Amino acid sequence: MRARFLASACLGLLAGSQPATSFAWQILTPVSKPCHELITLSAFGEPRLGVVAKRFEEMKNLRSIVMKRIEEVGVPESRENRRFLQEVAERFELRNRSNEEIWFLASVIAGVRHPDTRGYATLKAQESRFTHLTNDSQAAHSLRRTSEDGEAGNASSVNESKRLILQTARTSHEQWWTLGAEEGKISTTWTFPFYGDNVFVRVHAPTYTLALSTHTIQDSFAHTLRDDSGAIVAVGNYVELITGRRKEGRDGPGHSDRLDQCELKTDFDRARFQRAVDATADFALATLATWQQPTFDDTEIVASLGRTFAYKKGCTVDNGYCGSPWVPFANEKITTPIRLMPGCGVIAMPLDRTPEGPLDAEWGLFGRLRGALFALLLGTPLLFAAIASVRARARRA
Amino acid sequence: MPELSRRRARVVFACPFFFASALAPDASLAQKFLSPETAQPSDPIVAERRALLREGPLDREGTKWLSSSFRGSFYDSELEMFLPRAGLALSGGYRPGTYGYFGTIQYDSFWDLGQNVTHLGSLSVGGGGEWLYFHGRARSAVAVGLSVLANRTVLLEAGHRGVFLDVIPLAVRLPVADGVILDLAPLNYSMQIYRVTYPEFNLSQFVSTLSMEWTL
Repeated sequence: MRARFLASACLGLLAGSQPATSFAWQILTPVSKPCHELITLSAFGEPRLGVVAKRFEEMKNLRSIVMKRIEEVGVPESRENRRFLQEVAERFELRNRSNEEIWFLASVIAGVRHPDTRGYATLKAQESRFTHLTNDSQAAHSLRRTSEDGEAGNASSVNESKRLILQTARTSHEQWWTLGAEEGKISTTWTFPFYGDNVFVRVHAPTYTLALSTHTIQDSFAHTLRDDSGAIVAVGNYVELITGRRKEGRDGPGHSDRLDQCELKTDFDRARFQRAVDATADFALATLATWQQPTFDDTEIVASLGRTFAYKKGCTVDNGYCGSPWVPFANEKITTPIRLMPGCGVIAMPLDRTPEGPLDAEWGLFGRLRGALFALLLGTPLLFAAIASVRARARRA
Repeated sequence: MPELSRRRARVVFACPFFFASALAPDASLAQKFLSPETAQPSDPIVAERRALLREGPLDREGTKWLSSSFRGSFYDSELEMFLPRAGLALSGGYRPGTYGYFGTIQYDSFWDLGQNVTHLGSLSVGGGGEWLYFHGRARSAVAVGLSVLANRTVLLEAGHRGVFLDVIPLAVRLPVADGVILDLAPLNYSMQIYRVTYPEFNLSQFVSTLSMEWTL
């Protein structure tokens, strides 16, 4: 209980100093559930939360083919990697799997978490801001950029996400066919307790890259509004929402904290989770199938993305997004811009619009605040001690 | 991660400022305490003792002392992330003049909040030097020594040894009773180094310390 309180208090401090605490299906932290991780595991043939992918058997078969290659490549043997696999196995209940299977699934989990962390520890405030508030990062989370307005913005955002996924799938195919056994073990950071993001572990490159794009697919079930048929009717907005400049008619529906959650409390939640699992499995199967041939044939992948990212035009805030059943759930908890105090401006600044360049400007602001706080903490007692000394001397005189 | 409500976010954002101001000496109370006009005891002996307490120097030569401290922090400057920490220390020393030397034993707890809440303890033993100024109402100190991990990390075993460095640039000292001094150090630097080669393992934090010192 004390640990939970401590975690909440400190993550609260973090939330107070940076706006991007809520972004996409949750990933595992002390105050959020491993939604992305569980969706991915379910899609890759390890059912979680009682959700089994519709193409479970196909995934099992295809995975066994991939596993043979991984057995040939061999699992990296460093101490960090052993701990990495041990930690993943313990956290995600994979203890009775072979080392190769755990490495494969650990590569998947590291990959699907990466777009939310960019390799940084989840509690790094500045890096988190930079990761989530740039326009370039929005498509990886199935969100719209600040320039993507209105209905055209929906279509543009959907197409950009599809393009990104397809490009990543192509890269994973290339890695599968061109990288040797050792080259195919690429390094990424993994957040071990007390090490921050300073430790590198090695993952299976094609699997890790494939998992990067599953993040985007899964987020399309958290950051868009869909109709009964599953078609996207609107793409959500984060940057303008969190920076307090969003106009719904122009910028689209706001990012919803409600849709980030994966507690399967209602039929809506269960159906949405199931859809995310099936879409992930659909795409993963299509991509894994391309690995079986040296020439990259994206037909199946394009078809899969066509199903997942089907877009229906003509739905706006004025017509209630064509009566999307997702709207009432999304509106239960729209993300709010965080303000320092009532009446103050929002803390978050759009990183891509600062004249000095993105990160430097942010560091500059917080550097000055931090400097002022340090000066206050050191200066106040020094002043007090000096006054006390002078008064004592005067009194004695 | 779930978005905190706006109200909750304001409250938690105010926390460090609250703690900072709480740790800093209360100027009005201190002024009242130090001002001869505000204390008018009827008993002359009490008055004399209070006057001594108020006005007497806190840096008398040949002083032996003991102190117990509580210190804490929220942020690790090495990892550049939130890493709450709390610790207790027992120290004792001797002051030949306005300087002194001391020994210290400390136990610190750290909590990593990255994915799950994980606890790490460390025990440190060492010694250092200190300097008093403003008639002993302010103090600076440096301490170094050995640290030992009380728990295992993913890459280091419990019992792994390292070194620590504590720097107290400024502590303000308030006499609260005969021979009892409250020592407030709002911003110290504390570093524990356990491994300098990859993967490095250092814990470096700016901490705030509250101590009670007894003159023997």
